[in-house]
Amino acid sequence: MNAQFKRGIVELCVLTELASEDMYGYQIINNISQHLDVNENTIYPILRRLTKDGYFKTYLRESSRGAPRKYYQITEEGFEHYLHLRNQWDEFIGGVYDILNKGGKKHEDVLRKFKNRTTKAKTQ
Amino acid sequence: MKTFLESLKTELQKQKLNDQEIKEIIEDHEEMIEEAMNDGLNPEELNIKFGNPESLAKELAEYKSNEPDQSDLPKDQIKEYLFNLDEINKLNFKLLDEKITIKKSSDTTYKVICLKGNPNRYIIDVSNGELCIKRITKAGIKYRVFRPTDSCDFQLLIPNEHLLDSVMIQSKSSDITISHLNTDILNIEGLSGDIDFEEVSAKNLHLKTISGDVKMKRSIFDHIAMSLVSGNVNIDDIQIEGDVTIGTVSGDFSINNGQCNTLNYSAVSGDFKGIEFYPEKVSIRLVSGDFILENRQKEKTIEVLSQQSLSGEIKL
Repeated sequence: MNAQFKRGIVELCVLTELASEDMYGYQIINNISQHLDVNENTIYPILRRLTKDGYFKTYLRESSRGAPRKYYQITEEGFEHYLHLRNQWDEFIGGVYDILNKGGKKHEDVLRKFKNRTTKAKTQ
Repeated sequence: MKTFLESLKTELQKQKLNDQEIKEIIEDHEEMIEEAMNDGLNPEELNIKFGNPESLAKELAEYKSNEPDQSDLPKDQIKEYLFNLDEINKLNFKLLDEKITIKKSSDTTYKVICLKGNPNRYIIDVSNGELCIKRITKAGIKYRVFRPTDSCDFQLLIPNEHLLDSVMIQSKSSDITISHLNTDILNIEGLSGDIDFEEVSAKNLHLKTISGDVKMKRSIFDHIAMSLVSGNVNIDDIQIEGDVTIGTVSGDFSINNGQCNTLNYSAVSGDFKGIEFYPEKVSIRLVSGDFILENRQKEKTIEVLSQQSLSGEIKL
């Protein structure tokens, strides 16, 4: 996948994770890499950049593991940014699906139509 | 996974990230790797999860260069504030990460210059003789996030030899550079910013920092009280009329050329090294650090009031 495209999507995923609750770094990476084929190399730089941009704040909280964990918390601006990206994404992906579904919603539909067309072309 | 952290550090240095950033990134990764290991991931799974330090460092550096160029406002946007010399006898800075430079000018007015950032996010004003520079964190009712790009670099120009009553600077990570300052009280509190003095003269210096390094050159004080944790201190050519009290944990202390009345020094693991430094009396408390004075003028004696050391060496 195009790196820039991937970054944009992962950014939205990171924002979505933190929009629901405060999390520590490893937790965010774990949650996202369970669903998507991305690793720390992609997620951490985004987390750091969004923090630098003031979209997340961090704080330390004691934990059972011994040393305190660094938690990320979304700020008001971060939340606005999240809503903005989410709207953009919905609009974009909606448009993409409109195009994809033109031939039918399933592989079988698309294949059937394709066969119809090719057989017609042969008989002509 | 130690090798991952080591090669990450090397790669980050190759990408020329600054030390502070590298430190933060490494700390974050120490935490994450520890979590992953607690989670029971085997080395192979760790490799998959954490990927390649080189590409990570490149990714982190890329953002750095993509950052909107927040430094240096266009010339016409550099803001200057002028204040009358007679109005001012105190300075008060309450800041977070702004760079602060104080130096002398040949003008007869005080001048505050904002070299970058958004000066509207600060109070820059004089009242009751006090020139104040503070961050505004709350505007009206709505809490406003102070963006990193809002941070200003401040330069304060002080008319030559103007004597102040007090100078207070509070900040977290500001690097502070002060030259040619004359004040009765000089009070600096920081966490991680570096502090640099040149030709500063003050009756009472109070300095507190956690990890900031301190450098002083050609300065004169009556009394000094310094408290540090891990910052290093480097002093060249200093004259102290009265006493010096220094407390540090692991920072090293080096001092060249100077004198004082009583030196009270306490440290845990930091080393003290003085060359041509002549306190009249010393009182030393160490745990494992060393205390060494190398002086050539043998006729100047140093009276030892007390000395305690667990495993450090004391050589006078």
